[in-house]
Amino acid sequence: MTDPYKVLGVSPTASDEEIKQAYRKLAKQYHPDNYVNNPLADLAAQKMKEINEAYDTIMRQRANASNGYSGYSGSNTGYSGGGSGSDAYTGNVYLRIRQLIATRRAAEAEILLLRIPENQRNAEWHFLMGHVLYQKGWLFDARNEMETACRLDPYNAEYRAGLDSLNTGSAYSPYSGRQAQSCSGCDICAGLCIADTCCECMGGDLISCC
Amino acid sequence: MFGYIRPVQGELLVKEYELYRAVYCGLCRYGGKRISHFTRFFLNYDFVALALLRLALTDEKPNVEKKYCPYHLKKKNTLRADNAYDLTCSAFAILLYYKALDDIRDSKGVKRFVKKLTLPFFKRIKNRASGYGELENSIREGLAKLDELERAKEARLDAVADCFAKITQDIASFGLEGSKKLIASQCGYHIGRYIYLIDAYDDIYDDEKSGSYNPFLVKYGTAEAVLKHADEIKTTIIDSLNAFSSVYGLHTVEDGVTAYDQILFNISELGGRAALDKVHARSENRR
Repeated sequence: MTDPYKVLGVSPTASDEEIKQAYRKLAKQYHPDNYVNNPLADLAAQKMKEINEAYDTIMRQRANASNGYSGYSGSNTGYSGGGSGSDAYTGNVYLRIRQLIATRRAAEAEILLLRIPENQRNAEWHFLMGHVLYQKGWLFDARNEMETACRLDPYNAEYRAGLDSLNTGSAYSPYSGRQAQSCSGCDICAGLCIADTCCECMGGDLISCC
Repeated sequence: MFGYIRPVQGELLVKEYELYRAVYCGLCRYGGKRISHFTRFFLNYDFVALALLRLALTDEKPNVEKKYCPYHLKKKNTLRADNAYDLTCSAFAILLYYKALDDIRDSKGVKRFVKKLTLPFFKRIKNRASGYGELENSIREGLAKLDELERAKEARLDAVADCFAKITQDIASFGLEGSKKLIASQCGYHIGRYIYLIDAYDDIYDDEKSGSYNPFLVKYGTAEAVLKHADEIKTTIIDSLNAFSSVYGLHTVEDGVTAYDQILFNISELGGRAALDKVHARSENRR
């Protein structure tokens, strides 16, 4: 594997803050949103993945080192070589975890999640962990996990929706999104025009005068 | 923990505003009669919000009367709802007693002695709150756990806030069943989490000066550093308001939106944010 510090273009002695800054700069540059409809989109996505992996590797290494677990990540690297067998195993576990979350058994889901070794924790892991924490009401950590999931897999609509759901209150509330819900006269006219155009495309007509 | 969770009054309809005042008046009056006249001076908006949540979830019919108030020297609109008030006032009395105990344990010298003298009063009001043994246990355990984490200088915001949130969760869901219990638990939890975090955020400068525990100071170091992370902190506090609102919305699906709901939505969508902005501005000024 390439040196994560090289990918981010920082020296191994750089501070956490410097690494964060370098990561943010690169992430902004290569974010998939900037490459929609671009022929190089897949290249940008590949680059983005590398940057994310490098950032996560560095942060994990540093967190482990400061916790006194520096030997831990080393001993685990051999384990991840298990190949597809371990993938199938985690896939089943994730399914079970999703069932537990759906039946509001967050405590059990959390135990299963924590059993998955750190180097096998992918975007889905972070997404599910975010879900579990959200159910517990631990919103600070929940948001962090959801953001990590979106960073690791920026194209996943499920993770994006999970993060967005944190930002919104009830749709039934009279105060939230008052403008978004309203349907003005202008909206109705525009809607009718579009409906008319669609009908005409299909050979029919909704509004005979236009 | 005083007065962070209240509606933006200008955005309420007049009938909603009147209902809110009537609940406030009713709670104050009931608390004076049931627990002690002294608690009337301690009544705060946080408990009014809990009473409102209770009223809304138990579909209490608004029963408003005009009653004479000796403190305002005139007649005021009062909402009668003994069941909801009884729970709120009792929880309030129990919390006051254990807070007082906590306070005595933390102070030294003459102050400790003076505070000890007031203890029989708190004990008496706690004993008036009879029939809530289960609630008392959970409040005592919650505060003990909070104390333990504070002594250990816990840096995880969620873990500390969780202890206080569990207490308000138990108060809100006490005696309810089924889906109402689930909604009340979640709403109560997020009211508590919101109050704990905004209170801690409000106290960063005071706590830095006195050296008391504050989760934000432990996490970020100094009050100055806490303010640098203001966005992160505000986001997580607002997340609780959003969570409250989205769970509470489930209650209105079945029963339609009542005046109680309007007030609670006002609190979660507008009032909570307004209080947060005020607290933030206050901290910025002290910078």
